[in-house]
Amino acid sequence: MAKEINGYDLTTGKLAASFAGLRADGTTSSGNWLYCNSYVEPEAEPDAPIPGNRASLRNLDDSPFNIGLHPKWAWCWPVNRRIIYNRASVDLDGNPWDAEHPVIKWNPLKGATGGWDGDIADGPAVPMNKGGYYPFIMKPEGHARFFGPGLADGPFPEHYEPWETPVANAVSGQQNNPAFKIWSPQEQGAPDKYPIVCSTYRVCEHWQGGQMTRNMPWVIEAQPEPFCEMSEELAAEKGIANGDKVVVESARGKVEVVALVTKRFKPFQMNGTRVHQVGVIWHWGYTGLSTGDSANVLTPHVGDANTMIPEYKAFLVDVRKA
Amino acid sequence: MAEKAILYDATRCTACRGCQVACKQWNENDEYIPTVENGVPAKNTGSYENPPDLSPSTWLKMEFREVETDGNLRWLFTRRACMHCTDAGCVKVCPSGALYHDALGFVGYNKDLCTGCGYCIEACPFDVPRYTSNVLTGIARMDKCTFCTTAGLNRIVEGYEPACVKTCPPDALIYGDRDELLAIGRQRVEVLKAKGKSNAYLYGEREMGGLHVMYVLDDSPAVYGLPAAPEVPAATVAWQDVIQPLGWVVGGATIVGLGVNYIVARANAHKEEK
Amino acid sequence: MNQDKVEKYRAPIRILHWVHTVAFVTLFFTGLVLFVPQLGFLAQDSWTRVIHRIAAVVFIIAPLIYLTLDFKGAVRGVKMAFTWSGEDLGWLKAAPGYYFFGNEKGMPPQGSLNTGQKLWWFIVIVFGVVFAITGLLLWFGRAALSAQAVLWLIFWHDVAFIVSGAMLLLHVYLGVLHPMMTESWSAMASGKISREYARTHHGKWYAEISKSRES
Repeated sequence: MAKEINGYDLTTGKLAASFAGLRADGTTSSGNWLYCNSYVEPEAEPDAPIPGNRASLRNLDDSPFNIGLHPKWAWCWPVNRRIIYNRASVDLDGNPWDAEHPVIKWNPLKGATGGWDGDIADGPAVPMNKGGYYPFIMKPEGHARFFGPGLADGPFPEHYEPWETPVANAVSGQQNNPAFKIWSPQEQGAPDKYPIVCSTYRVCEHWQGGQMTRNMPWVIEAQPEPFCEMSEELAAEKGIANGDKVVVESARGKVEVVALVTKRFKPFQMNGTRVHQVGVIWHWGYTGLSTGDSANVLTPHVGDANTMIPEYKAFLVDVRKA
Repeated sequence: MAEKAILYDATRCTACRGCQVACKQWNENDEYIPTVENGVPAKNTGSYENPPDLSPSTWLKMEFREVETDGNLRWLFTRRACMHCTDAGCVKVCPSGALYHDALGFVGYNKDLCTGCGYCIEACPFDVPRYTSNVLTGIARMDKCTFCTTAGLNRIVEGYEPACVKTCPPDALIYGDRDELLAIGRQRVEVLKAKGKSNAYLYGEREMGGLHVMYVLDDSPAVYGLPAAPEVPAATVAWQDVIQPLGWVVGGATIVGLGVNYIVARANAHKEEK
Repeated sequence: MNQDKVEKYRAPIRILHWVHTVAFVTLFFTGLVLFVPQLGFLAQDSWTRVIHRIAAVVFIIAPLIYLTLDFKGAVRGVKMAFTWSGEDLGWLKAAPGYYFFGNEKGMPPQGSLNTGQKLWWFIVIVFGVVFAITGLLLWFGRAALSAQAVLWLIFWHDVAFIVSGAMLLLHVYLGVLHPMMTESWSAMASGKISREYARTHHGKWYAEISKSRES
């Protein structure tokens, strides 16, 4: 399957080496051009645990620059480039702006006419002074853009606070995004009643709403109930012990889940105020072998100005022992 | 025959617990998992560790530890299952030979021979064997990781790696000749030390005569919840190595002595009659 | 009174003896299968374990029942096991000549229980208690005790097994097989021994009971 996704040169029967070689004339195949180069002929990647399968690489080698790139640990698209637009990290001669953390560096002695050391350089170009082109290759002019026309909340990037937030916007005079899509304005919770920041996230054992995974006994045994992770400081404040049932409540509703008290959450200091954060797992619902409260009962119906993606990862709640 | 082993690299483990589930799936350990039919409730007791302990149907589980030193928080994962010791206390005390040393080095287990005596439970310095038992009748059986050599489900004899090793996505678990894994483990510990992890340690190189499940750790064993100096309990040595042979000697001497007495006394009795 | 025989053991004692014998022998063999690795398969499926526990209950309860029926007699009997004197040394010195070579003259007159029997009685009491305590703790107390404690309990249970096992062999041999112990079996089976046997084997006891029974 991985080979099919990588693709083949159908005239030779060999795995395609790069998306640059893919054609629209029926002589090549590829399940996804981005993944072309992930599975090459065994001779081209003999040291991989599964020869040729570059995603199976488990080499921790971080040379030449040791910046934590680890180019031989697994593979990423496209063509194993780990940082895109990486030619923006070098000057016009191809030398890194940051000598201590080079991503790529032009090496005139490499190959026949010179090449790049480090990451796979974005756009097969030479340094600008040797006739190369601008690094932001997905834009027609090759530059990064500060001005983004065509956006509902552009053209300049700005920081806006979430619809429900415990603090005033410290960066902009405009508290929230003026182009939010707000379906139920009366459901906004205020920080005096709901002072705790809440986010919702996943666990690896379950998937999405859990309709499939919450019917698989071994998976349920490994991750049986929805829970709310909170800091030791918040738990102490509320008299909550690890494993207690707690009620997490927002302006839209409440859920009862298990408290998971952890050192991995720490309270924030924001504008001089201590602000707590909790996280609720959102894979549960009322059907299946394992049922439990659905975290999306808590979330606000507010859509992103451009994509309408709901703001489910930043809202306000209060927490108490059940 | 080269001895086999598993190498667990705690620095690569992501605690996905695929190993935990793969072990259950392969060994058909599904008596206690929650289903509508068996009425077992699924409960989270405030941890990612589910089930919360080893059990007759949970031979392998991952442990999670949040360790904070000087403001640095690390989330450490420890594999927990039979360590397959070379000098296994459980094999030493098992009266029926249900627990034995496999030729490949690990501790094999034939559940059909288990007498339910429970001696192995107290003799294990890692607290691994778990058993079901009836308090009144005493009928009991033990269960533990068999290195995927359970009769009828034997992966090793077919040339496959154990189920946990096969599943592991980041190859935190690898299987092979123990000598090779020792070399790989030592080398990885050196790499960790070079990165400033001065307490990095290869656990299982020498402990209990050498473990067949070895751990690459980036800190001391105690930080990962492993006993620093596991040993076969002194009581089992006194019992198996001292008293047991003594018992044979005493029993044998008694029988021989009585036999001699019978012959001699009989002869004297006849002498008297004459 | 029957002129030929005297009563050595009354019925209650004989019943206790035989009940306890069956229990003890059962316990012995079901324990032996854990001692001899080659016999370990017999313990499969916990069969011997179940039998061991049933016999253990009998082993512990039988003497307790006797205690309720004849407390004074039981106390007297137990006292015997803990009464030792220089006379017992006399038995010890004479024993090899007596039991191997039939030298009856060297053996001082013995009481109701000769020194050897007293020693066995002592072992039965002491190690019976050791068995009961270690056994009950192993049966019911495993969950509450540390691993170390349980292992040492098994150790002492094992020591008791070896000592009492060896003595059991000796006791059965003397009771059944030894050429000189001709009436020891009937003493415990029917309760009666001949006057001649009583005079020669338990002279001191015979003298005492002749006096008291005649008067």
